[in-house]
Amino acid sequence: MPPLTSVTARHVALIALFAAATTTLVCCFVDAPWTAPVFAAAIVAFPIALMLLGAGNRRRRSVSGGVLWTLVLLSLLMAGSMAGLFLWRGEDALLLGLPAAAAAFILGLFLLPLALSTLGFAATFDPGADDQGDETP
Amino acid sequence: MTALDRPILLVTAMAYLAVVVVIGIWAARRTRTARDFFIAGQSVGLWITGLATMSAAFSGFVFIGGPGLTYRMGIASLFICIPVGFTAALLGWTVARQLRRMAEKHEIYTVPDAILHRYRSRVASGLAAVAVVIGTIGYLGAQLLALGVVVEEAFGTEQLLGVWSRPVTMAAGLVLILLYATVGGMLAGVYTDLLQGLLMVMAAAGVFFYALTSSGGPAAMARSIAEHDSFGPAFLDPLGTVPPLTALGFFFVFGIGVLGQPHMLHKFYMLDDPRKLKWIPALLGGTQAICVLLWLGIGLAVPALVAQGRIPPLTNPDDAAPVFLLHFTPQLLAGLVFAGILAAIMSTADSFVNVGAAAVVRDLPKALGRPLADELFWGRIAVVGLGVASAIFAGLYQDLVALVGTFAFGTFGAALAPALAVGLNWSRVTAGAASASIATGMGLNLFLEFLAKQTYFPSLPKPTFLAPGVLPAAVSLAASFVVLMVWSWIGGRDSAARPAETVQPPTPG
Repeated sequence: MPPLTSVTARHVALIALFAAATTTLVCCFVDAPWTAPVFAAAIVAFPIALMLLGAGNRRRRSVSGGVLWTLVLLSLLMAGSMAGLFLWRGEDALLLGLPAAAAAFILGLFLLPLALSTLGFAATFDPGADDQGDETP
Repeated sequence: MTALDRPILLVTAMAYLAVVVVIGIWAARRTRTARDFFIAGQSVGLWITGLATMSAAFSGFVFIGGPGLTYRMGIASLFICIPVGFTAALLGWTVARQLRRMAEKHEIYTVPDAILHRYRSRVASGLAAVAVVIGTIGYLGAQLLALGVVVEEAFGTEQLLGVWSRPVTMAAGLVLILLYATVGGMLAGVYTDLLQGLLMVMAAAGVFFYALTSSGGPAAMARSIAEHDSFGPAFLDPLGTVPPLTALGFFFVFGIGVLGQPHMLHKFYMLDDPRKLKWIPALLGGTQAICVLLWLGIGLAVPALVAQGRIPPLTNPDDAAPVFLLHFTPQLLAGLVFAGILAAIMSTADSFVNVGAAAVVRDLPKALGRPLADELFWGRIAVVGLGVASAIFAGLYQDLVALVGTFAFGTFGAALAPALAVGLNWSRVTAGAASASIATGMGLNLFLEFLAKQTYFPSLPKPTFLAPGVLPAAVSLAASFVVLMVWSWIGGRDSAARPAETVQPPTPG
């Protein structure tokens, strides 16, 4: 994946963050069948947008392809697992001794994202970025 | 059965307390300046910072409150700890490096200090300090409550003291915490955190094993729970026992609110070399994940054991962890876990009293334009005041440990997360936007929580205008982000604001 300029990354992140925050807030006041899935989608977008914002404002010129891949995979994994919570409710099939929704919950929102996000962070960490970055807003 | 019937357990727990006292005395001798007291002299390495951050985050809330909440509401309660899957990296990308950088070049010991430096606004910094004090009282209250539960269950004090058992055990715990924190400050806290972190990781792994085996393995555990009338299949459905917006709200509040937790952010100031931040998320997230096993294991094992008729139903869900440890683990492991839980409570409480004391004696006076001359002395006085206030709060709130902790976590998150996570990465955020966001998050959370919980004024309405099951902290956190962003876009660039990235670079080497 090609790198993204930090300005573009920041704009994308801010738009996504604002959309997620507004949607989350609206859902808090609406009692409708669609509220919970929409709320779930918004709260998955929330951390991804914040991570992109942080990665895009390191006073670097760009956000690397490695960071973008990490965030794309993380968002797909979390969104898919969140969808599984709704789609697999009441399923009797067991996975790791637990109902499918519970297993998706523990694997897809906890263990796999943990490995992906922390190792992705370490792999894309650039110790020199701060030194050059502090000089430009 | 109490700890008095299991001498090895008692000896292990006492040995831990003795080690903690030694650390406190050692730390007191090394605490000479306010910099030592508040940020451990900015001299700690990767392992200590990572484990101390984990220990500060995981406390009596997780070890006592977590299994208790699972017993009450099923697997949905795990939405509180599941965000650990991404929060460590989220902290790393959005705030850790930025805060560490600031602390290197400027006299920044606290989160309100960072806000003052970023926005050059005493209003924003003062509001942040008020939020820190309120959240600290709530979080300390949760620790004291957890301490009361542990001591009461372990020593059977309820049989001796009756209704006075909980107040007496909480008061004894408070005295211990205050002695420890007033003497050692953050240096004591950070080294206790290291000990606690190691203990917690070992204990959680051991307890998870016994939790699985005592109830017959995951499949038997799930089957027992699903077939029992008191629990049923909904207990194992992540969205089953509570309104979906409650479960998802936990995920949101604990996933995003982590960006405003001063007791965790504070630890990033202490790291001796910013390059070590590379492995902090892996260390923090990895150790947190191991500790979550204790919550998961006991949280599912105790209902399964109740369903199998091997223990009676619990009258107080917060007793789940102590009951399991006393009856289903070997004495040595139980002693280790009790010591770990005591360690968790002590170190988190110590972190909080120091963070709160810094807000009272450093941040608020600075915001008011009247800095104190002897912060170290007044810091120790403030520690006592905060401890007493939190004990009174815990007595008045009257709820499970985890729900008291959720209130505190939500207050910090709603007030501070947007101003830090967005403000440190987007130069357009203005001082006015930060102040409005902090005031919105803090004020709305207090207002909604008060409406939901209060019984003093029957004529006041409950917050029925919210969708069913919505957490006050979730509304406040989302509103706080919206206010910050809208105000920044409309208000434009504030000439007084100083983005984190314009801070002077560090001296090489």
